[in-house]
Amino acid sequence: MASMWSEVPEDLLRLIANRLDTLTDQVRFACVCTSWKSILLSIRPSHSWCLLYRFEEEPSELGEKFLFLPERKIHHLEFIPEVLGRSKFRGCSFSWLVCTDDYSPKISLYNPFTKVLIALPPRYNFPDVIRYCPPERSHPVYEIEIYDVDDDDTEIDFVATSSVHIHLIHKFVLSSSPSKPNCMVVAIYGTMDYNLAYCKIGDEKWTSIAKGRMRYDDIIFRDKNLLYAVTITSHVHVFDLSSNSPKLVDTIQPPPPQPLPPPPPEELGQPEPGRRSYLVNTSIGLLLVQRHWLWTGSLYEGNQCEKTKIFNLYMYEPSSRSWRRVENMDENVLFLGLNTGVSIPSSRVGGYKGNHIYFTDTLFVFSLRTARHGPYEIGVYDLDSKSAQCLQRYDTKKYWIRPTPIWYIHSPEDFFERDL
Amino acid sequence: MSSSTKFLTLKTNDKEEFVLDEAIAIRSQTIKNMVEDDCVSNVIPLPNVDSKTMIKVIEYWKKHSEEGISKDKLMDFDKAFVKVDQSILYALILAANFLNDAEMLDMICQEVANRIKGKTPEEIRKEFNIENDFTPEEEEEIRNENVWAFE
Repeated sequence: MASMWSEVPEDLLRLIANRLDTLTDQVRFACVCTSWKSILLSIRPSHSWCLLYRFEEEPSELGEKFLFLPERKIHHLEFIPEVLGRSKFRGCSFSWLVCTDDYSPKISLYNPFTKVLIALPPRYNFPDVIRYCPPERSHPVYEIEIYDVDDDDTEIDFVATSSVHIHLIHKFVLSSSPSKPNCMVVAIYGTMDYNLAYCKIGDEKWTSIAKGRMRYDDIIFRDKNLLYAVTITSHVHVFDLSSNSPKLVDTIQPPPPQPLPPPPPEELGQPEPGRRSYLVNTSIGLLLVQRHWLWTGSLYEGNQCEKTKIFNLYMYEPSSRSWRRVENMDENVLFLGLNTGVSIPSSRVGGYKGNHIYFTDTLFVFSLRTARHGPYEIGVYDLDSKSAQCLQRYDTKKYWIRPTPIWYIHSPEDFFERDL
Repeated sequence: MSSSTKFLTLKTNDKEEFVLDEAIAIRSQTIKNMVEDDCVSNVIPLPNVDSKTMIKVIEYWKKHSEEGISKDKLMDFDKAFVKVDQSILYALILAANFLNDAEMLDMICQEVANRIKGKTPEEIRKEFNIENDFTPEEEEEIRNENVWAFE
């Protein structure tokens, strides 16, 4: 006879599930029976970690070490060698990381919990590549379309492979978990992030969505087939990807600009303030977030980096096709960076404060030929006090900047939800 | 010990009666509330607890009320106390919940969690004698997406 454990009162089951600390145990708990599964999804189901690889001479038997913020705890997370070596993480959606390699054209999806690796079409199968001369040749190079911003024209040029792998690709987002049918992966790529392309799992090539139209800051799926892409001018292009030839179906005008406070005297002499826009799906609609920063440090001393000052938030109003200024996010926590932007109620993600924005800077390059100089900025912004605080300006001697710091957001829901 | 020790009679759902020192019985918040609200006549009915379980609960209460007992001894006692078959553990968790003894409930929930930790879903079902009630389609989908959790 079956026991009563599948009928434990909900509040007791919740007490038990709350005592399971590891994600593995939580997911296994949910796999036991339907009532246990429903409980798990109702308790603190999400985890968010900022992955920072901690460099140490001795490899650990427990797997690679990663530092997870904001706990500042070191955790062991086993990464298969194909992923860890020279990877950059350039996307995190639905508990999957998108990995690129500085010295190889390979691009892959990786799930650190299941350790499943899915190959995506390589960099040389993007629409801007004319020819890729593989590494057997003495100097592997790409013959590639380079977009010249000043002339508003493309020219064909030979570029070293590492330059293409490091600088001519920026960020990836997924339309759904790759275990679902018709999962699409979209990339911002090319000179100064001017191009968009997509592929489906199993495709050989990346298909162009937009080329040389505008410089893109961020992308997100709002629907299975509708891709929203925000430009550096905060225009939002909406692309319909339901057919084989993607179409631009709408352009949303940017919100009116907000005046910025003047920079403090010590920041004078630095370059112009910077701005990056992010798109975030929330339970009530599409959110546009602008991060404004000033530069600190010195380009010549190699420690120049971003210092975030202000965030501006806007909610999209579909009826008027305009943006409404948002002053606070109540109990929600925002995670921004190379991950797909998310908003999670603080009650559902341990260790993070509501009405706060956790961010990492996403800048890889200043131009095609100069790499970034200073450390990455990883910080938290309080929407109440409108002030940013640095979570970890990490010492580059101790921590490798590889892989790139990225918010890894993991929800057991990602293992169970059928659709977007 | 107070000179005017009061005793309470607890009656389980299988009509067994237990006479217990009030100071011990009020470890149960439920009983304490009844005593404080003065709604205790002669016998306190416990409709959700059977005598077999009540014997265990009283054993726990008495041990934890012993004067001068060392922490180590209590820990050893607790360890042995939860080493029971899942069916008894189930009766205990319900009893602790009904009697509203937070300390005991906490300990039992921890024991259940400990028995879950590190096990695959199939091992957990076996441990707690739980029937897999997913439809074959759901089961397949869960398995496909969580292959690692089943290994």
